[in-house]
Amino acid sequence: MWGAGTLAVVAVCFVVLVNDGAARWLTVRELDLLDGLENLRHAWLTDLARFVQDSVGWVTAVAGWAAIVVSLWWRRVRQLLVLLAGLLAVAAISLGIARTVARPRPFGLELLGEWVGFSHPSRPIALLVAALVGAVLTTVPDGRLRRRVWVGVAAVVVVAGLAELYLGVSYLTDVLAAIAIGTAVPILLHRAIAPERVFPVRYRRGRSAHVDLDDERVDAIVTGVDHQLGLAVSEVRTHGLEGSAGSTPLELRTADGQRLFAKLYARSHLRADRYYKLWRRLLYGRLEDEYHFTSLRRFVQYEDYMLLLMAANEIPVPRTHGIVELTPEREYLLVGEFLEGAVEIGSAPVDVPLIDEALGMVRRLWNAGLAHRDIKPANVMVHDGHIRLIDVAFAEVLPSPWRQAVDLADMLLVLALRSDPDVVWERAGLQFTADELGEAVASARGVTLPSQLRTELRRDGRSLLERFKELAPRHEPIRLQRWSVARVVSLLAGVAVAVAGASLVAANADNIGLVPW
Amino acid sequence: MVKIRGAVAVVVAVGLLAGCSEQESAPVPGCDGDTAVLVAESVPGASLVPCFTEVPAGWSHSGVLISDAGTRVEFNSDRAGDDAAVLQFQDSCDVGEAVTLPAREDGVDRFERIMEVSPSFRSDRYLVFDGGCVEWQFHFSPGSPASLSVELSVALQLLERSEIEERLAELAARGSPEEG
Repeated sequence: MWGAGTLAVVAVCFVVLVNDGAARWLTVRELDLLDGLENLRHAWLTDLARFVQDSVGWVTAVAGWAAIVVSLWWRRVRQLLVLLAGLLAVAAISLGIARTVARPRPFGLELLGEWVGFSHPSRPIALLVAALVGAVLTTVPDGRLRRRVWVGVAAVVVVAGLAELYLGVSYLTDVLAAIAIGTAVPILLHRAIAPERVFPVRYRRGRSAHVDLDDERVDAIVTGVDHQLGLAVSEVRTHGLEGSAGSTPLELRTADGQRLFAKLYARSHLRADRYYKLWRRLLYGRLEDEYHFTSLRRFVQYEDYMLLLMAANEIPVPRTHGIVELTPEREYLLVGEFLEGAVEIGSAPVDVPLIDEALGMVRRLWNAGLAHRDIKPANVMVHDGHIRLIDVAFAEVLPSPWRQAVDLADMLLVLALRSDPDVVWERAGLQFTADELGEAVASARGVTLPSQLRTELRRDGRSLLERFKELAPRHEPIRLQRWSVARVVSLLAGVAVAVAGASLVAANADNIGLVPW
Repeated sequence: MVKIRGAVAVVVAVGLLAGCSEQESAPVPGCDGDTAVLVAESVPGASLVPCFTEVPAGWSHSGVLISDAGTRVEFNSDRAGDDAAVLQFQDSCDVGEAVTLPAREDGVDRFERIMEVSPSFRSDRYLVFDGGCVEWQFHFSPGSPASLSVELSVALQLLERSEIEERLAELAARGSPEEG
């Protein structure tokens, strides 16, 4: 509504100025105003106005580049694309209007400032506003701080606009139309493509998939769990947010005091899954069954199904209560058992019985034709002295022997982190053949180790993987890279898109205000 | 849906970009339109203002830049090649050792410096008047006749600044309800 209103201002100015009679009438009135300002001219004021005008280009460039750098640093690619599209669109719209209206600079006045091209709309002001608005939407978190920054932006724009008028290089409507274009276009693009609710500006690494737990969402959760699972929830709060890089983990408390664990999934998870798998495909080729999900509903359904399948095969996973649809294809909740008192295996004492149990679980996964594919300390819990495996979203049915070997290798390393590798190896020999263990160790490299596990291994400093290699029978290293036509095409397409995008921006850097001189 | 909107936005932005450059921000200055006023503003002290009644057949403009530093118009030719002619309107010119040509209009001194005739015609031509100067730079592709430069030169008109001012004053008066 607000954006449409500002664009309406632009439309009115446009219609008036392309009509000869109306344009003349308006121009005469505006020249009267500029004549009045001309009477106020003083040397020091002129110097100040020129300084302001000279600074506009720098402020525009600094705001634009700051937003670009911050977006890249925090990997907010979508916001970055919207920012650049906004700048390009503002430049193109301004130019299109300038060509159509073809309004000369205020005639009869001494033009004290620098100018280029037609007067309407003021391109420097339009680009300044677009860069500042884009930078705010891309870099400043929503809330009180952003509201304060808006005030500062408004002050900068008013001063820059007054300088243009004082120097006589623009009419009032040129400045107003520029402000309207520079404001409306970036805001409308952000709302349409990167809405704040879905893509909030935050400064926490790796937690971009978390969604806010506002009152509206809490109400939807309480209602949805009641209607779809028949559970009366009295309290909803986040739980272990810092340990989750994917879904938003929640603790639900029912009216009868029961605690439930729930994972809130939004569309952003679907995108994260898509980009994660695309990235892996570019880096390694298709590492089996890494097709992305095309529907959030199926994404959540799959995890729910894997929990049921694993439970049916006596893999110790939390019991699932089912799925709650909060908004079709946009938000889902997966509700399950709350593991009261459970701790990550990295924080629990790991003795021989626990090692046997964990390795036995891997054996049962193998026997059931399943692979977890994300075995790391955070996903192996110890609950009442027993192993519980969580986060089965990446699990796979009928995996290749290589994929199963990776699960075994990861579990060996997870257990060794909290015990002795020789003991783990000895106990593993009771449940797996030497050849199976050799293949597992040969498969443990690079991408097969979850990043948390790699971090823990580095932190441990005992060269656990090297020790397992010493203990394992000799096995040929397992090649990771998989080349296919699809991978080559994807790589070439990715490079082409990146080069084309960078070229487009580079070729127009001057026109969108990123080059201040 | 979001993916589609994103793709559409990018396509629209790229589409809008066609000719986003400042270089093409104005048409060739005609003698009647508002562009001539803008050209006059680019050299506020010039007594004469260059404009074109029409661009000769075979010639097209490839870029027009009008600013407080002057006016620059670049022309392509279907025979003399791209950027074969460039017109610059400034407050002064350094004619250097250019040869004086016979005057055709009162108050306009003409100079020319021919750097090369064959195989490529290259020359600079100057029209110097009170408060301003028009400079032609011709650089034709090999084999193009030097006479092509005459086509453009003839199409160029020099308007009296006072003529533009009178026209604006008349328009302003007609735009005023009290007087019109």
